[in-house]
Amino acid sequence: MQAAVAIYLKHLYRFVRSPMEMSATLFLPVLLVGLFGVGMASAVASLPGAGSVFGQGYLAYMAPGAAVLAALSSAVMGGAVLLQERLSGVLRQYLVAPVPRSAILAGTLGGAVTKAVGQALLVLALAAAVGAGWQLRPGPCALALAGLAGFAAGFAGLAAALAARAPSMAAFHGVLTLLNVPLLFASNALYPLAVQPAWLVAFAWLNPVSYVVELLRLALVAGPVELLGPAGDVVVLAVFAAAGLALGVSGSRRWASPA
Amino acid sequence: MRTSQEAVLAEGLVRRFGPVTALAGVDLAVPRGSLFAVVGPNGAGKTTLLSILTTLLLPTAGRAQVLGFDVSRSPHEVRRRLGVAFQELSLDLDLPGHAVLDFHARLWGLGRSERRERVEQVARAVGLEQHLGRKVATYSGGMKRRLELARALLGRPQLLVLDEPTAQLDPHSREALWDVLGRLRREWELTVLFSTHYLEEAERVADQVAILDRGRVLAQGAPGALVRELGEEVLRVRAEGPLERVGQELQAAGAHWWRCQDGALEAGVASSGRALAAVVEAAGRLGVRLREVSVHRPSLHDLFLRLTGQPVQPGQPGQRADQRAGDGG
Repeated sequence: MQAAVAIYLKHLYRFVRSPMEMSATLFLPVLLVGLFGVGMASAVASLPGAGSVFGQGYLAYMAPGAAVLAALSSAVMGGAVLLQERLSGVLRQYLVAPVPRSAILAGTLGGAVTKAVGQALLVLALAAAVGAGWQLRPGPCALALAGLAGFAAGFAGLAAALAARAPSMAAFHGVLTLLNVPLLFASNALYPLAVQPAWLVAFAWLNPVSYVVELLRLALVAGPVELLGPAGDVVVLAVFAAAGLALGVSGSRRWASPA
Repeated sequence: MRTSQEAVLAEGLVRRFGPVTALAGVDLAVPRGSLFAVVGPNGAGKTTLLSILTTLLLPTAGRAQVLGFDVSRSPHEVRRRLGVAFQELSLDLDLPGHAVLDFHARLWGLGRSERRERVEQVARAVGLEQHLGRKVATYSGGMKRRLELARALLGRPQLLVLDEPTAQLDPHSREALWDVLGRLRREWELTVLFSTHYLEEAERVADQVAILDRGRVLAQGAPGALVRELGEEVLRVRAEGPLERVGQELQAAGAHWWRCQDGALEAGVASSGRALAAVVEAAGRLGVRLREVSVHRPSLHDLFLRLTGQPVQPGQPGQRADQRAGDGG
């Protein structure tokens, strides 16, 4: 446990001391909310029937989706951190120390989940500051936060599994960029499932992004259930988190066990 | 297996990577408290051997004990007693030196005050106490090596394993590192096991060496004792003509060994004066034209050459010079 905490704290320490990473983390919410949310809000408002589709307005609608995408980005960076440490040899220093192998993964993924949830909260705070007009309800919000953490853990685990195999940072980011597009667009993050074609809706049902967006959105905005509702979403996200972490653990055997 | 006197004991270690055999049956005994060098060219198997001893790799066959613990069965016990610095630098360059040490000390489960004390202690031991506030990226190569050494010392190891610790360091930094290691070894009662392809360095600083080539230990012992086996002096003759015949004459005149390679005859002799007279006499009789004659004290280079038929050529693993005549020794 001590070793996991040590590695967790190290990643957070590096993060807050890195001006570039910190700037990117703070600036992404500004871009998502400021450029996309606020910018699109006026355009979307002019569309016929927008009120019935987006309820309180597009900003309030899309901000949970934007928050989830920001969280996704931070979660997969946990894999990048692991890969960087693997390629630079830092990981070997952990491996020759009397440290349980599980602690290395736990500390790294814990750091990724913390950053992911933090960045999602930043997006939501910024959206609230510029007029999203949500009414905070502690119970649903706590549930949504737990779902968000599970979602981030699942993707951090997947990214860790990829990092265990990736031969280079370029290969790692190449694969993730490829995955980001369907995760972003085949979901309810930016527009409702009701306005999407059936084949895209089918993909959205398979996409974990859709469930965490719905969970978050239902906690912040009164609106229709598009998928399973809060209880079902939490179950799906718990299963996804478990599967992602299991893959991460399985992948870690490639670098953690003496060959 | 014996355990009491040896910090490291390996028997018949074999390691294969697919069709490549990196270690082909290594036996090694590293006495406690020694400064022990594993020497050999790149590709000899040094890093593979150290990787097994530091629990990063499992042997394909054979076994090894570190400080009495089997590396395959009790890796955690081995790790608790080890400090390791790898050949490639493995530092977080974007962190200040104190953070690198502090976070690593946390891995050893040290509390706050103990961490501060230990970090100060190891930084002082390697002479970096004035530089811990700087980012590691701003350190010189020598300072980075010393920081890695400091990190390896954080767990108060009984055995320090260093893979090519002076590779890519300038002579001044190399000297500084050996000074630090010599002092640490005395004050901390450490056993230091290091690999290097700098034979002259191993000969100068190590108590014991093992010469590794193509995954096998060719010789092991104190450098002085090993090179004494070559004779008191090494006579080197460059000439035109049947040098092999001259070599045979030298052997008859009492040379410990001789070899011909690349147009030169080398021989280990007890007295260069008598040997030189024998060479001049034989050359005149056999019609050999002497071009150059030199005499030097034998070194690990000579021993390596004699054992392998090739000089140590870093960067050319596995290549051997073409040997034109048999070994007469």
